[in-house]
Amino acid sequence: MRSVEPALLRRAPAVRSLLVGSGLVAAIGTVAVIGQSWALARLLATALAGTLDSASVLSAALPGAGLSTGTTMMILAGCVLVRVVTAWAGERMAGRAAADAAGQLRAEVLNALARGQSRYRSAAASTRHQVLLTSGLDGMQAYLSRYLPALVQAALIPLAVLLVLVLVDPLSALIVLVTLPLIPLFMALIGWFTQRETAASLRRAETLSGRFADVVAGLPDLVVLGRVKALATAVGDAAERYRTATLATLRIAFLSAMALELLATLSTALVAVTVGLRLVHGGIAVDVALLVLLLAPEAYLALRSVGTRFHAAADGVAAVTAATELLDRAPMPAGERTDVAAPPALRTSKVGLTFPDGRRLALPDVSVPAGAITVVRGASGSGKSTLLNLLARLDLADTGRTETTLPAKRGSGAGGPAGEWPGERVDEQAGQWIDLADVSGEQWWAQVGWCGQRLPGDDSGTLRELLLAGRGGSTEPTPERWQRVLDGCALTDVVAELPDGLDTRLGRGVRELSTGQRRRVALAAAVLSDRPLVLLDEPTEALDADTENHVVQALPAMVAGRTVVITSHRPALESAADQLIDLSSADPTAAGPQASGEAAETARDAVPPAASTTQPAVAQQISQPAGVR
Amino acid sequence: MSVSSEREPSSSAAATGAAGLGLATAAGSGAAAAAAGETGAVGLGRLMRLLRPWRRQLLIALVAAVGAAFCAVALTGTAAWLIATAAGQVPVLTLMVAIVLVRACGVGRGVLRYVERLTGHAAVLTMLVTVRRQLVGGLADRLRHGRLALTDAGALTRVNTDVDELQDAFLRGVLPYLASLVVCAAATVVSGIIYPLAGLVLLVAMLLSMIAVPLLTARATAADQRALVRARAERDTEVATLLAASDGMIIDDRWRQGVDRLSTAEQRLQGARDSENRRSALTLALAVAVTGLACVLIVGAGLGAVRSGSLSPVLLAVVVLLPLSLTDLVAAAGDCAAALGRTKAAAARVLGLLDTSAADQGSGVGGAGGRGVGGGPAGAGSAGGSGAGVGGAVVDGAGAGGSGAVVDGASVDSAGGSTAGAVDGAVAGSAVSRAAERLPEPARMPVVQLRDVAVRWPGAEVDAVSGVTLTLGPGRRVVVLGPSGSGKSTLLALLLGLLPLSRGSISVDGQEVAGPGDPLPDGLLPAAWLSPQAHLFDSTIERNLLLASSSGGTASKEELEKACRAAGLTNWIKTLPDGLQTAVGPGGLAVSGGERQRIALARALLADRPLLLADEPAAHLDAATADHVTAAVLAPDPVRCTVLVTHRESDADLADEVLRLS
Repeated sequence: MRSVEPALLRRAPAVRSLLVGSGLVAAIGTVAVIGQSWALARLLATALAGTLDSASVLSAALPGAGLSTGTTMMILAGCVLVRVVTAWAGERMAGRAAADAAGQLRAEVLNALARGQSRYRSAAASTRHQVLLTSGLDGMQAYLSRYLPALVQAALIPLAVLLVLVLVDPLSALIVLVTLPLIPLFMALIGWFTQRETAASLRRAETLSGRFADVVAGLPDLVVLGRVKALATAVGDAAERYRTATLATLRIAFLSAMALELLATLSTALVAVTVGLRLVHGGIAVDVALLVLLLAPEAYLALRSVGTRFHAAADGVAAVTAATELLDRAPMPAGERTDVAAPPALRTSKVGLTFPDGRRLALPDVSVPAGAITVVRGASGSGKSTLLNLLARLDLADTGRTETTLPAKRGSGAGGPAGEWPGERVDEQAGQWIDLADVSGEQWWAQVGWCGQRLPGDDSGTLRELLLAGRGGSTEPTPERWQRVLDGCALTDVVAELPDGLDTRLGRGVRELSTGQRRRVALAAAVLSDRPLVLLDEPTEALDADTENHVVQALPAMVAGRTVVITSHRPALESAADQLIDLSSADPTAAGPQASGEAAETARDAVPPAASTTQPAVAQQISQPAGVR
Repeated sequence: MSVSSEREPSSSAAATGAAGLGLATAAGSGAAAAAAGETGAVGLGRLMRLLRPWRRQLLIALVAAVGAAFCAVALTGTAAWLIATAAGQVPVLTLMVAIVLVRACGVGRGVLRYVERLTGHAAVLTMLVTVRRQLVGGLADRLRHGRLALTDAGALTRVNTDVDELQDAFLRGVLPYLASLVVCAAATVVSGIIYPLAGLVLLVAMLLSMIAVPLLTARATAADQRALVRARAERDTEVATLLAASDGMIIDDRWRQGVDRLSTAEQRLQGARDSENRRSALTLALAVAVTGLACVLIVGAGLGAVRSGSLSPVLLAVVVLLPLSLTDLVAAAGDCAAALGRTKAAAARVLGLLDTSAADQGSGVGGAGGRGVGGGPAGAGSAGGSGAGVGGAVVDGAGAGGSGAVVDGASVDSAGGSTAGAVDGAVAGSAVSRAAERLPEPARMPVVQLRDVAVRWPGAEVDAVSGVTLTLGPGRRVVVLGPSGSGKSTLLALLLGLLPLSRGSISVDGQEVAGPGDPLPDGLLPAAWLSPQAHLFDSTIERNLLLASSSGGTASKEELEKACRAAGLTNWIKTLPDGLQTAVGPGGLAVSGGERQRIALARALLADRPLLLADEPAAHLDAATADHVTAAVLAPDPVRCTVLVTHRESDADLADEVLRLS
């Protein structure tokens, strides 16, 4: 097992306090154990001394032999009390620090996910992240609260015991010193020899355990198909072999435990027998002999308990490794530019991406004119959603560029904040293409009205809040615009059915919208956001043909003057397009006769100059939204 | 002695007193029996009943545990005796006995402990084989009688973790607790014999820390567990919500809000964990305190007794060290109690399922017997006449074949030349007794009329769906639309014969077959079913398909190809290096959601039943794939009747009839 502590210390500072705290508690606890053993040795030696021929046997050689029985009793009680407190404090501290560390690592992981590329947050990756963020980090927490303190104890207690033994009885110290390293040595040897066998039988056991899960998960199908009895027997068969495989694993584990236990007990016996024989010859005092007898096992025990918790550690280590891998991934560049044209024109050139699963995708060059509707079509898997992610700056291509333009004129329209660039320079650069990677992510996202295929849940809040979420602090739309947008997005009936209309509380367990309804709400929210770039991924999915046509007809008016990119695999939406891009063939073609002449012109002239000419008009439209006119 | 947090029983017991062994065992089993009754509130009694068939192995484990503990006790005891005697400067030869004994105890302890652990685990694991087998029966029974919804995947996955927890209840709860209890009781008895006052002190300490505290711990843990489980579920949901729509949330600047909500949920979970941690810290501290205090008390009193000559100093050493050596065992008892409390709910669920499956098995035996008699004369190997015995034989064949994957088992069953009747014979319980009325397959699709039908789930107060009037017939494609919770899946459960009518009637070819209180008669309307997230078994694509084959698992190549083509699988399968022999499921090729649903559709089509019931087959697919899969489901067929349940309005465009539920 490779050590994960350095990576953990870097990512979760609470681990440091866990280590320091555990060390402190273990140190105090060890002192208390030594004190307790000393007191017991003294008290029992005193009792023995009364019956011994004190002339020939040393009954007292330990320091503090002069103390009265009462004082020694007090010290014994005190040590017991300290042990009670350290036992409690050690457990509490480890529990809390482990929780803190897990929280810190969780925050880091979430932060890395948010700052990383969208393709690392795909549905497939999400399953892994879900496991990491839930059971993975829970396992790490258990590892921290149980394994690490044992490790610290294993480092401290044997040393302290050895130190005491060196002081009171060097010969016993020597025996312990020679036999003690045998425990970790044998642990490593056993681990090394059984590793393959253990891993193999563990895998077998897991497979067979999975088989039970397999049948149970498919039980509904089996019930309907009338196949249950046969499969119940097969499950029994699998369970029987699971038992055999598990027992094989356990046999190895128990045998290793036995070997270590024998080593520890025989070492203890060796110490005890030597001490006994030396006592006969008067070579050692009774109280020293008792102290040695009491303390020696502690050293072995501390080392062995690391071994017994070793298996609990595996889950935690796996989680830390997964988290580290994720955290070491380079985040997206933050980007600094805030001066971009609105509505933006966009284009991609020679973009290529590699997905986490190794799949490569090269997209044809695409040019999106400002202030027009572009519909992207293409087969499933042709990269429609990836294109939207690139345009939204949720993904950055590995090769090639995604670009947008600088504002046409300084301070004109709803462009980025003016004044960051000297006037002349801005004029020089007006309309110039810049890499989207250089644009500040947050600035860009604030421009995007988004309706993706994977939509957020209802959140807790009212429908009104959900619909106006993208407007920032802007004023509420006029009643006329409300009506037009709700109608245009086929939401009028949905609102009418809700008990409190727009002010109905939504959310898990309160009142949930269906997937189709959520999509329409997201569409309406993107429209109402008045953001200059609107990206819609299959906005009419799940709508019946009539409703879809209704939405398609209403859409151009609702988003007029804004740059709109829509993906769809269905032809209905294509009638709303000023420009149609087929990702399979890659040639942008101007839309058919449905497109208005002016928009079609803009589309054909899909270069920055066109964007700059439409800019003032667009600015006007944005300040006075489409629905109101 | 430090309390290493190694909570393994009998790992470091140290005391003396060979005289105690026989007594210890007797006292131990008595105490164990008492504890079983005592902790009955935690379900321990029922768990013990489950273990009864394996009591011999468990007894061996227990005896080994006691032996190991005795060795540990004797090891330190003999060592103490050795030192005390050596202090008297006796001849070395006298000590040889003790020296040999010390070594023997050292070896014996390790070996006995190995025996204890291995036999204990073997017994429990063997029991779990039976439990797993019965559980599948119990679950199937619940599904068949509508006490569990077909689409309630959460309940099904929970069963897996429940069985794992039941395992914990035994291996981390019952077994180590019993072992600890036996050893502690033995130590108390030994102390009492040596020095009655020490025995009394230990008795009080053990009653408190081995009986009272574990009982309270188990109860408190079980109570906290509910909060913990709820908090964990909420946390998991928040994580899923955050991850599911991260793109949209980042753009709308709602990511941070989501992270905050997750943090709140996480804090609640940590709060629940914290109270668990507080309790385990308290139990540990209590174990140290109780045993330490007993030690101090015994030393204090014992020194006086030695001075007055009523106690030998060698034996004082024994009774003083004994309580300290029990610290780990006492702490372990607290952990065992916590494990039992933690697993209480899961164990109760498993036991509940086992109860129903036991009842089911009873009725199954009765049904099978009756059928055997009735089926005999008619038999002659025909589909209808194949008795339960045939099914049983085939099933045994599958078990003995042991060819690995579960689906293989079914294939062996089918490949064994058995007819459709034999496969049906494998259906357990009441279904068997009704199967005599079964129509010969392949059946044609009759005209089925639902009139003002209402259905409710067992135990529910209100109807899940009501007022449904619908006609099904050959070639008809019906789309059932409605929001979640409108009873769409309930309607399918009715058509599958899993739920009875609560109002209205169903007629088949003009003849009324079911009224209020009746389910659809079994076998009258053979249906295939397509679920929202179809499950692919851990086997090849072909075996997954053959599972459904109506003609006994030996579907011809043409039939397979036809089903694959209809489901739109042909091109995809061509891209696979192993074609139909490609392994899928948990251990095989990662299959996309769309392909998975298509395989399930092909499986349903291969079943060749006149009625296809599809429950949101496109619910988890992207828009384009969803359209393709739906189109394949609703593809026109002159004979088959298809009922598609969906929330996608667009699916209505393809239907002959649309039923809207609200």
